[in-house]
Amino acid sequence: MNIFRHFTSKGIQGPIPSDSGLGPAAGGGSGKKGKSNHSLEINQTQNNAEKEAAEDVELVRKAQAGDTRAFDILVSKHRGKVYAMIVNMVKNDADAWDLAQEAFIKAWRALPKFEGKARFSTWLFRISHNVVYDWVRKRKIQGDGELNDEIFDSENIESGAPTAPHQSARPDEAMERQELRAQLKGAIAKLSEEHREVILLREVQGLDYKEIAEITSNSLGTVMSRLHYARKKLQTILTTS
Amino acid sequence: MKIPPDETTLTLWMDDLLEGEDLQRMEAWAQQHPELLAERDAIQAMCQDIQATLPDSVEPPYPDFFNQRILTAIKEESPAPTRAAVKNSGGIWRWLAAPLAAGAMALCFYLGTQTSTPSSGITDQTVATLTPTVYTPDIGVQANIFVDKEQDATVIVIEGLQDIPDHLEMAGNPTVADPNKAMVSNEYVY
Repeated sequence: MNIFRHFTSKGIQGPIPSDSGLGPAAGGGSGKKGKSNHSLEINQTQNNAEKEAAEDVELVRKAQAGDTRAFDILVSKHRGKVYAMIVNMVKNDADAWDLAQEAFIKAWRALPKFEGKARFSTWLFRISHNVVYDWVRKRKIQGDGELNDEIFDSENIESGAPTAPHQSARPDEAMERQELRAQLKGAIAKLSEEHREVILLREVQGLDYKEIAEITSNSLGTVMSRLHYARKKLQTILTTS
Repeated sequence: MKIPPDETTLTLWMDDLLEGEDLQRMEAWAQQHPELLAERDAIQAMCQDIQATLPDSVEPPYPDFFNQRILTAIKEESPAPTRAAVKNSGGIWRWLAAPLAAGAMALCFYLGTQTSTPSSGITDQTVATLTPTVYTPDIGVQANIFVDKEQDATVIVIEGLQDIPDHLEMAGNPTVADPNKAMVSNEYVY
C-alpha cells in the first residue's frame, strides 16, 4: 500500500530540483519499490491523486472568493489526515480535536496568501505543524519550563480508539495488529517531538523529503539526517521495550 | 568508499533510493560492515509495520460537529479577503490610510464627548437577540431553546430521544424516591 503513497506523493510534487544536490531520488519517492509490476494500479492511484489535487485547486479558488461551502468540503476531505497527524503528535483526543479545528480556522484566515505552489494538503500540514508546536510551547511554559509527562506518557495512548477505521480481519490477526499498533504508538510517543513528527510525516503520511522540509521549515539535509536518527532511535526503543 | 557514509546517503540507501555510483559505493561499504545490512533490514521491516498498522487518516469524533464549529468560527469573523483584493490593496489608498484613520479617530472622539453613555439595557437586548443553537449528533433528535428573559430562564427541550431501557445500569446508581423532586432538581441542570 505504501508504494502507492510514495508514487502519489512523487507524482504530484514533480521532480526534485537538480540544484538540491541530492539527485532525482531526493524527493523521497519510491525507488526500487517503484520498479514493481503494479504499473497499472500505480497509474490509477496516481490519476486519482491528481484528480483529487485538481478538485482541491478548484475548491480553494472558490474558498478564496469567500465560498464557505467550498471550504467546508475541503475540511471534510482533509480533516482525517490532519486529525490523525495531530492526535499522534499530542496523544490526546480532546486536544487534537480542538487543535485540528484551530488549524482549519487558521487555514481559512491564511487562504488569501495561499498561491498553490505546494499541494493544499502539504500547506495544511504546515499550518498544523505550527499549531501543534505553539500548543506544545504553551504547555511547556505552563509547566515552568519542564515537559509535562502527560504529553509524552505512552500509557495514555488508547490502543483501540473508537474512531479507528474498522478492518475486517480474523480475531487473532486483529488482536496481533492491535498489539502491534499499541506497541508502535507507544514507541513513537517516546520520541522527541522533532523525531516523532518526521516519522509520522514520512512513514504514516507517506510524504517525500521535500514536502517534509517545507512543512517543518528545514533543509532537505536536516530532514534526512533527522529521519535517519529518528528511525534508529525508534528501532532501539522497540528492541529494548 | 573509505569515508563512512553520511546520514543523507544512509537514509537514501535505507529507502532504496540510492542509484548509480553512489549505490555501488554504499553497497561496497555495507559489505565491509554487515551490521549496516542488518540495521537496514530491521529499519525497513519497522517502517513497513508502521505503514501497515497506523492509519494515515482518522476521522475526528463527531465529524459533523467538527465541521459546524469551524464554519461557525469563520462566519463570525469577517469574510476572508480575496486574493485580488490583497494584491490591489496598495496604491494611493495606502498613503491616505494613515491621515484618514487619524481623522476618523478624532471625529469619533469628538462624537463620543457629545453623546451620553448608552444604557446597559441595550447591550442586554443585543445579547438576548442572539439565537443560540444546540447541536444534536443524532439526526432524529431535535433540540429547541426557549429563553424567558423576565424569568431569567433558559429551557432546552430535546425531542426524539429513545427511552432508556430498564436493564441499563446507570453510573452512580441514581435513585429517585420522589419524581416531583427529580423534576425540581432538573431545573437546575439548565
